[in-house]
Amino acid sequence: MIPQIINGLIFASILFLVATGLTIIWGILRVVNFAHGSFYLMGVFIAYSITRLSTDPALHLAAPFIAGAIAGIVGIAFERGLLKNVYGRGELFELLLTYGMIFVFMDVFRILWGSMPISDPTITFKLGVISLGGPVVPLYNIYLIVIAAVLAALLWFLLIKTKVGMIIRATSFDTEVTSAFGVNVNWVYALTFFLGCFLAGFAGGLMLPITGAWIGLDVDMLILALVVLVVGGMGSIKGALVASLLIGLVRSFGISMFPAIELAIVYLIMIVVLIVKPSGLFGGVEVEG
Amino acid sequence: MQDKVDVVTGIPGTNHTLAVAPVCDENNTFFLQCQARAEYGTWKDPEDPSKGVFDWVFHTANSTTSHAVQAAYMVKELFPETKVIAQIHQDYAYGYDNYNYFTAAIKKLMPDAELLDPLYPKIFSPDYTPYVSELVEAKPDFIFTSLWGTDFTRFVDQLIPYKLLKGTGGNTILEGYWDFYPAIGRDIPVFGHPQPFNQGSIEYEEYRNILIWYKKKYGNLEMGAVADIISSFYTFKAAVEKAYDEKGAFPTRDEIRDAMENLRKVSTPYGEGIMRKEDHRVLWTIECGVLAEDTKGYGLPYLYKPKITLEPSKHEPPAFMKGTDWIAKW
Repeated sequence: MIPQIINGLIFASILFLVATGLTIIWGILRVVNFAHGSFYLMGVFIAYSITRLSTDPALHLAAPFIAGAIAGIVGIAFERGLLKNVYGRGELFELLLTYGMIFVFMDVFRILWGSMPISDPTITFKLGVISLGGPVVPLYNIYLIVIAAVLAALLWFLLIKTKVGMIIRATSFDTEVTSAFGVNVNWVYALTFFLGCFLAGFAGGLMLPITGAWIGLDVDMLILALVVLVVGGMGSIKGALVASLLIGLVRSFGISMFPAIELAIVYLIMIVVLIVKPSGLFGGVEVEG
Repeated sequence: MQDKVDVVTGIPGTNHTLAVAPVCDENNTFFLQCQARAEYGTWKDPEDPSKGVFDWVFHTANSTTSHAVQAAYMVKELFPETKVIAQIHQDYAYGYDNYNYFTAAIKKLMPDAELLDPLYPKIFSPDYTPYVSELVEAKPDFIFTSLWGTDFTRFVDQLIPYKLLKGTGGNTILEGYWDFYPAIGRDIPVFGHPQPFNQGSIEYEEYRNILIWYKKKYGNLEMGAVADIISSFYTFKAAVEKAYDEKGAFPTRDEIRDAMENLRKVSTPYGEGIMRKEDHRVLWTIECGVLAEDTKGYGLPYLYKPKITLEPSKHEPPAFMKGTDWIAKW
């Protein structure tokens, strides 16, 4: 029971980080960034390159932060350099651009890191395991859950308790009015993209020791993040949290109890939510905590 | 076919080979199945062996039945104290076939062994932790898996920290099946691939050189794929040479095909093989056992003792017989 709860929380933590990045970007820019999974994969690959430099555990623990930051900067470049050119030209342009970028990123990753899957579980081995009153669990798995929870709390604090957060929320309500108050909306867009892509890249970096990376993981993660968004409600961080937990735990226990249909159950939840409450469990159109 | 190629090979999946085989046969083009594992890959009708085999289709790799039976023999011969066996396979035909053949063989060879319910993760699943937890809780003596490629890598990487496996703090033996590069250097008794000489003997110089070159360039071991394609190529080469020797001049395609059907000896990284004329399959005498890190100084994994040797009649079904039917008759 305990190991499966922890497994579910790991999956939920990663889903939450990725889906939150996606939902923030949608909430502010009204863009579904189909290339969001690419930033996740970018995070895994960058973290891999960093961990190749040394076996020092401190470097391995720092790798996700560095990977997230780099993914965030690339995200800003993507938003400022490409995406802003199609704002206001219809959702189809945004969809095609962000979807097309998936393949551009794939080729870039292939050039930089090759086609072979990569993995580096060094930190998992080095940290060892802890006993939770019987079952043993890798300490890194606990670290991952805790660090994701801390990041979620910081994100909530940033959005709800700080002036920057207030500006972001205001922009999500009404861009024109916010702009009329002297806020540089372009700056908010760039910051939002940085934040969203940082979260995706950071989540990817965290998962390097567990799942590694391969070309195609980006699309897998994007689909799961979209499921979380649909279930939780577009633009709702609270919804992303609840949906991530729901899907993470259902999947984990599904494997244990109904292994043949564990994945089907996840999508069944999404279908039920779409039918019963199409706006999602906490559906809204603005970024809210 | 438009390029009028003489030989088609290198196509991995059974589903693909079943589609390609009739096309090659219609065009009198050799088709060498080097990786697909189904024993019916050369049959004109996979559901009806009485229709015979395609004239131009040959199978140069071991079958899934062979692999699973070898795996069962390894448990019996090398770890006879095994009482509880767990299995984890990918959630598609290859995984289910492995479960069926291995389970059937174990029930015959070790009737007292307890077989746990199999685990079937989705193919290319990134996260194995829920499955690992199931295995850790069950604490089997032995885990048999047919996971391949990166799935095997991720599974092993995610399993190691739990200290379940022998060599990592536990007592469970893991029988890996395909690409075992994640285990190399970690002192885990992962079994060698149940194929001749552990996915090909590194004593075979050309094979070894390709592996070393590939590892240097890409940082990975591609033992299975390289052994498969070399074996395919050398089987064809042996047929051409045999036909040439018999004719005294370069043979026609029909003469090469006849020589291929009657090959009595094929030397490849898999060892010495022989073509079974009835169903166009090369059969190998195999050696399988525990994988060593690098006992030969080549920087490549190698099979070391304990190991077992199995004649083809021990691990391959007779011509035109499917695995489960054959094992049921043991």
